[in-house]
Amino acid sequence: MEKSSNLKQKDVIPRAQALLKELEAGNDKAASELIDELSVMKERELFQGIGKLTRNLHDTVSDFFDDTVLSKFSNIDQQEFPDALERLNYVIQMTEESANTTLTVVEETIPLSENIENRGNELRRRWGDLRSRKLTLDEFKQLSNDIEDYLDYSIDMSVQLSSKLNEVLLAQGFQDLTGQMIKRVITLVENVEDSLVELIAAASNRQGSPPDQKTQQSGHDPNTKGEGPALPSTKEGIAKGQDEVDELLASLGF
Amino acid sequence: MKILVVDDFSTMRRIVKNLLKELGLSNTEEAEDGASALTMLKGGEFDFLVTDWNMPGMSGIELLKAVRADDSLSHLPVLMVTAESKREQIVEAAQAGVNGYVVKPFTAITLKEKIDKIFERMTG
Repeated sequence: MEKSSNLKQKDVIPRAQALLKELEAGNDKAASELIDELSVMKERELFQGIGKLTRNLHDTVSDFFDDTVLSKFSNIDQQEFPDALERLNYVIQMTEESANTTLTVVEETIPLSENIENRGNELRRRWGDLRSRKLTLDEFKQLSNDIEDYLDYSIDMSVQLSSKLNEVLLAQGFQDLTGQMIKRVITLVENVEDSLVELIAAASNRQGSPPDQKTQQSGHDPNTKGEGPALPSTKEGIAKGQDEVDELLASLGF
Repeated sequence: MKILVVDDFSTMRRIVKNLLKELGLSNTEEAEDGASALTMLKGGEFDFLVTDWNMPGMSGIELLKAVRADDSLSHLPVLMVTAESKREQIVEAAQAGVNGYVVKPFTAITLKEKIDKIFERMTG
């Protein structure tokens, strides 16, 4: 750059001085010719600059195609993006189902515990009357029957409450499944981010050191590491539910 | 009956532990990946292993293979409780010597059935 600007000064300054001289001397024609010469020089320099920029751009783009940078982008399976969207939608769906299951069970359970409390309070009051000898014989017989009923009822209610609590327990399984889904989306986003950073680095400094291979190695081997829950849209090679797993295992002699 | 529950998600470990307790199996310990599970198994005199598949570090299938390859552990019953539902994965687990395979999300009844079945075979 310095060299070309020196060159430019060397060419331009004498012409500019000559132009001033001609103008002062009133030689319009000579002055006009010198102005033309100067503008041609200016244009030539502009075209050269554009040409250089174009070649740089072209080389950079060609490098991308040869470079691992682009191959890293193509390593990200095109299907990963629609999959990621489906995964996130599935996460919403699973968390919603789980929340609804839990809320429904809680709504069903509260009246049960209220009934146990109300009937217990009522029996407690009548039991107090008995202890203060306020009950007739018939009332006492009735109270005995009611207490017996209540004992059966409370056992039955405890069983029901346990089963409801178990439903709530199992509904929390969503955290594991959605967690695995979200982890896969995070991995995809990280891979894209790494590739973009390398693309930017390569574009801003084509002479820089070659991009490292870190992101390529971060991809896991699906066979041993596992893949997490299958997407609802996946059909092939997936066992849908426990029954199909059992069938498959049975066919293997289990 | 001492049981080791292996899953990288603590919520799932709690769920499985609580379900096992419901079945009268309250002597449980936890590990969050295959590698720490293997260390615990080697020193711990466990009677039963419940493991997830997809875990960072050593996965459940690697743990299963390591257990089968270890003389002192090779007969340990192993139940896989996992979201991995590819047919080739189920076949791989079967070939590696898994004793039961439960896919997530599962029900308490399914877990009970599979555990009962494994115990029946052990005693029978």
